[in-house]
Formats: sequence, C-alpha cells, structure tokens
Amino acid sequence: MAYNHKAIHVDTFRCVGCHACEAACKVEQNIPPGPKWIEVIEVEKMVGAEYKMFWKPMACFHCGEPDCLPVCPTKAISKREEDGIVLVSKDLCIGCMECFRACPFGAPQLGFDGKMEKCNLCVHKTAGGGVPACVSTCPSEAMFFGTTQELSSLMRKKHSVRSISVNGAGNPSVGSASAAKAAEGRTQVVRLSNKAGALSNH
Amino acid sequence: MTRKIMVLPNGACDGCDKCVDACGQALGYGSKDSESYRAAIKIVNSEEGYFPVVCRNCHQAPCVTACMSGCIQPDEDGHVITDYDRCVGCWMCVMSCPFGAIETDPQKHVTVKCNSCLDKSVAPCVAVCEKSVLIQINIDEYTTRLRKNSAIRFINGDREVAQKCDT
Amino acid sequence: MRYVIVGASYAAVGAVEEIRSIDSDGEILIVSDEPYRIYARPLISYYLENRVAEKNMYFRPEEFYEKNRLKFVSGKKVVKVEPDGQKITLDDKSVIDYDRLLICTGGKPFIPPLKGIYSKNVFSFVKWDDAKKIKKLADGAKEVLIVGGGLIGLKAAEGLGGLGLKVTIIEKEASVLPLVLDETAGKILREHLKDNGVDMVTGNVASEILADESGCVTGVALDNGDSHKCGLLIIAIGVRPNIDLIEGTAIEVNRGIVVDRRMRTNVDNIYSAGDVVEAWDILSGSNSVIAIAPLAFEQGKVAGCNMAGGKSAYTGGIAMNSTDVFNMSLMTMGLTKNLDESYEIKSYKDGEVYKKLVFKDDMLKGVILVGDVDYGGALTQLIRNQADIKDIKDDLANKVLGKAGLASILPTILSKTPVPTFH
Repeated sequence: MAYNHKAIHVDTFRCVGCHACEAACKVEQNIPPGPKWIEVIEVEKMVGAEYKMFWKPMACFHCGEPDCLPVCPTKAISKREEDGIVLVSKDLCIGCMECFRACPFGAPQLGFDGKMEKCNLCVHKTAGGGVPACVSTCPSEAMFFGTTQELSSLMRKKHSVRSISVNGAGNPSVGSASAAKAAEGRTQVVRLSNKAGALSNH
Repeated sequence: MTRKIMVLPNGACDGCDKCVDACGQALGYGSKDSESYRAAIKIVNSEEGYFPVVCRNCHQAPCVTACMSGCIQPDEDGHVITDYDRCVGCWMCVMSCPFGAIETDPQKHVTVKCNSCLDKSVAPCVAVCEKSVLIQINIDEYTTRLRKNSAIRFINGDREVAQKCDT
Repeated sequence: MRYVIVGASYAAVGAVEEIRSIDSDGEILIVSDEPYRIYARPLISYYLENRVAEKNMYFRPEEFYEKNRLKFVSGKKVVKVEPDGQKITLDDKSVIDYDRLLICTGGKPFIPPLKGIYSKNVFSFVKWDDAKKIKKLADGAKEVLIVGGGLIGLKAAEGLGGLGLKVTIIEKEASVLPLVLDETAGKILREHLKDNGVDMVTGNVASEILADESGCVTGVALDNGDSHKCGLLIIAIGVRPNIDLIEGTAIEVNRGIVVDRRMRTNVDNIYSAGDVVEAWDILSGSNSVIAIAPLAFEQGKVAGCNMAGGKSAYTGGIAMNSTDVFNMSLMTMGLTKNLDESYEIKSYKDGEVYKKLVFKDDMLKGVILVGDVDYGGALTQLIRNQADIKDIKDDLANKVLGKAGLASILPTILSKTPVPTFH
C-alpha cells in the first residue's frame, strides 16, 4: 500500500457496536436491504479473567495487493493509483463471484442487479477531500479516515498516549508493547481526538 | 435460499478426480475410459497445482447472453441452468465462458455444464470431496461468515491478517 | 412510460428483461413484422434439418410475455418514425406514440441485382418463413445451389445436406467463411464439407439466375461461362442493417445506426441495438457493425437499462462466432484474416484439428479453433480484456498449440493480472 493510499482505521476499543456506520452507508450509497457494504461484527474476547465484547466494522480494506483484482475474469475490478481505492465497474461485472472466493474478508457483496458491489470509500466524497459516510457518522469516534501515512502517525500517537497514561509520564522507556497490551485490557481508554492534525472526521 | 457449489481457494485439491467420477455418473456418462465420457466438473492439472473447473453460476452470465436457442437460463435463486432438450450444440456458450466451465459433447450435440444437481440434497461432487475444496453454501451467509472469521482474527491480533490490510 | 421496441429478436428480449428489472409499471410494446413470437433466428437451419422441434424454436417460453406484461404486435411493419411527435407509423396506417423507442430491426439479406433474381424458388435464408418455404420445396428439389459461403450459406448447406439433398456452394473467394478463416482452416472445412456431400465452386460469382418459362429457377450462370443446375436457390451473400424505417429522420447512420456507449442514437429518446447498429468494437477502437447474437443481446440489455432510467454502458464487443458444421466444431474470435507483418501468428495442425493464435503488442488479437474448441471462452476473454500477456505468451502458444492443450494453462489465464484501469 502506497503512502498516499486512503483507508479507514477502526479503533476497536472505542467502537460500541451501534451499527450507525451500517445505516449511514445504506443511506449514503442508497443500498436496499440485503447487501452490506459495511457490517459490524461482534467478537467476544477473553481479557484477563472475564469476557469482553468487541466490535469490528468490516468494510472493504482496499488492500495494497487486492486478491479480488487478479481473479476477475472481465477486468471489472481496478485499483486507483491516486488514492488506492478499489472500484468495481458494474458494466463489466458478470456476477461470477470469483472475487467472493478470493477476498478473505467477505467484502464483496451481491447487489440486486446480480453484480458485485462493495465499499468504494465514498469515492464521490473522498475524491474531493471529504470523508466517508460511515466515518463522519460514527458517534463514538472510533473510525478514522486518511492516507496510510496519516493513519500510521495517528496510530503512533494513540500508542504513545496509551502507553504513557499507563506507565506514567517521564518514563517513556517502559512504554513498550507489553504495556500497551496491558492498557488494551482496560475498559476505560484514553480519549483520543482525531480532529487534530490532518485528520478530520466531521 | 440460494445454494451454490463453490470451489474454495484453499489450495487443498490433490486431483483425486473423485468429483469428476461422481459427476459423470450422475450425468449418465458410463465408463470413464471411453472417449465419449464427459463430466460437468473438471480437474485441471497445471504448474500451480490442481484446479477444479466448474460452473460459477454467474449472476449476469456470459453464456446466458450468448445462448442462441435460449436454453441457458438463470433460475430464481441465481443458478444457471441448461435445458438440454433445447440445446442445439452451437458452442456459443463454450466460446463465451471465461472459465472454460462448459464442455462440448459432439456426439450428443449438446454442451455439458453443471446444473448444480438441484434435485439432490447434496451435489455428488461435493459429497465425495474429501479435502473440502468443493463446498455447497448458501451464498447469502457466505460473506458474513468470512467477515466473522476475519474479524475474530483481527480482534485477537492475528499478524497475518493485520499485515494483509496494513491498517 | 411507454417503451416501444421495433424488431423482435435477441436485442428486444435483452431490453425487455432489463427494463422490467428497473421499471415494473411501464408499458412495453414490441412490434414485429413476422407472425411469430420471438424465436431463435439462427436455429432455422436446425429446424430445416428437423433437429429442432417447432416448440423449441421460441427463444423464451410463452409465460415470458405474461410475466413481463408485454404487448406484442406481430405481422406489422413500421414504415415511418417521427421523432418530433414521438410516434411511429405502421404499414396498416395505425400510429403508436412512444416515450422511449428502441430500434432493433436487425439485418436484411442483401439481394444482388441479377437478372432473374425474382424467379420462383429463389430464397434468402434469414427468417423462419424462409426455412418453412424451403422445407416444403425440399422434397421436390434434388439439387440445391447456395450463392455465398458465409455462415448463413454454410448453415443452409448443412440443413439441406442433412435432408439428403445435393448441395453446391458458390463462393467468390477461395474458401468458405472467407472473412474469418485462413487458407488452412478453409481447406480443412472444404474437405470436411466434401466428405459430407457438399460441393463447392470457388473463385466465381453468379452472373445470372436461369429460369424456365413458368418462372421457376433452373440454374445459375457464372461469370466464367459455366452454369449449374438447381431446383432451389438460396442467396446468402450477406446482410445489411435494416434501416428503411428511419429514412427521412435525423438519426445518424454510417454503416449502421450510430450509437454511443449507452446505445443512444443522436436523437433524444431513441435507442438502438443489435445487428442494425454500429457499436463499440474493442479491437478496432472505433464503432463497427458486428452482427452476432450474443452482442445483440448484450446491447439490448444496455439499451433497456438506459431507457428505463438506469445507467449502464456497453463495454464493447469483438467479432466472434462459433458453429458446428457436420459435427466439426469451429470457433473464430477477433482478428483472424488479412493481417499484415506486425501481427505474430502461431498455428498448429493435426489432421482435422487446427488452432491459430494471433498476437500483436503482447496482446492476443485473434483465435481460430477448428475441431477442438473446449475452453475457448478463456481465450475470448483474453482478447476482450486486451490483457498484457507478455510473460505468458510463449507458454500460452506452446500449450494451446501443443499436446497439453488449453486446459493446462487455464489457471494461468484466469489469474492473469489485468492492467488496472478505471472505467
């Protein structure tokens, strides 16, 4: 994935499983019931001695090297150079579902016209500098949108804030991955504003 | 309920040809050794391994578009079904199928294409596949199942999955 | 909304199915100049040979008309289209208003202006009625001449040969299917036809149709002075887009009706599809008339979608055809004939099996498959995609043109990474 390619990052510690992103996606893209371009998946995980509930909104990841792209017999799937968005051309798609087999994440959906459709990162908005509908809707500010470069800097920030808040300021050397992992177990997570810097979700 | 035979990309196919035998029998093509033997599924042996070729049941299938006599039609659940009584053997579908999933039977003057064995609860090819390469699945649940699998691995911090999508 | 479709064949069915998937209320009216429900036109040769029963000639079952609430006007010809008033006039002087008009009148046989061409027992071979008339006469006639060795002529020869008649094909060029088959393939096919009792006279054109006093055809005189006897003559020297009805309108016509990628003509609310149009041709990179059934159906679908307010673009087609003549399978895709030095040609021949691949600029441009056509669709897709196959070109040629066969390289073809482009 190139530095300028855009993606959505989900902070699973902040996601509360409200499904607002699913609704926003349906409204924005005008999708009838059935295909889900984004779907919030519930996962139970043992944290410490108790089970905790996590949610992960699953859309298309717009992979750096998409598995769906080479298997398409009609060249209907393409990846844009400028922002890495993986798009499908409905004119070319024959609905053979080869991409369904290839995608490990279940991103391709079968539309009512019998053709594949999937998250397009709200290309009509993001191409002009906007933010996808799911991200701008997320009430718990768990979703972040940006280039991979922006997102990695956000994640660094997130990691450092968490590790410092666990280990106390002034002792950065202890702020290791293990400390961050300990922080992950906490239900109370340091609030991280994604309004700062180049990122915006409103 | 849409039931489809799918080939899973797990690379486990070892070319045992059991599915081919089962299919040929179900279609009524006698001995496997005879030249007129045909089956609607084929195992292709290539450098990249064994590769089952079977009808993908495309939802906007090129063979349906190309069929001259109108004998290939999708049913309500999206299975692409050939009505062999009406097939005249013009091979238009053979020419259009990008997967090479339709074969010719020049003696009977009909094509040989998987009709999903809808009259049986389990398709014979799926029943005999020991490696679970061929599965029969309700397509509506397929993507949700995949999403669940990968979401669990994400939350549990599976490196392989995480690296795949970078974010 | 009233959709009026002129012509009842593949494009019409494609359009109807697509319109109904978007608009379930609009009125759909099909006007056909033939007295039948929509039938599969290329099947007339099989009908002639009694290989297809009458009930199997219909392209869609009877329920299709009820299910899609089609109004079907049969046996009426459209004589005039008036885009200004959005109406069409039929030959019985009745007038039909339209909101969206689809012209898919297909092709009409080209009848050369020869002396005696209007004699009795001279037929073209494009309609079911032609086949029915020929079938009736076939018992009486012992010898049949077919002028033109294209696909229609070839299928007529097969149909009549199957009935036990003595068939001779008269072709201007050196072999049958001159537009697509090269010399080798033409030779194989010619031998095969001969084995099955079909004679060929090549290199000559008919100069006059001979008839007796009662006006019945008795033979054909050739330009070299020879003459051949016959009791039945079939003229199959090609079809032209059937555009009589739009004469006098502003609809742009080149070789066929000119349409854009959404199958719209230059006149508002008038669409066109099928053998009558000049639509996008992937290989030439421009519009051209490719008169084959699969593309007509596809174009009909695109037109129907756009007529009903949807958005769909025609992705283009390539010239391709597939047939089976006396149990010999034939497939030709893309450019196969009249190639200059810039094309790289590789071929393989073994008895009646012949395969040829045409490359240019590391792309597959054309294919001929004779005798062994299995998996041919994978190659069609390579041509349609115009995929860069530099790295698998030699492998492809070796395997397809060798003992291993196309099957062994199928996975590689399917996983051939397409060039990322956005449409």
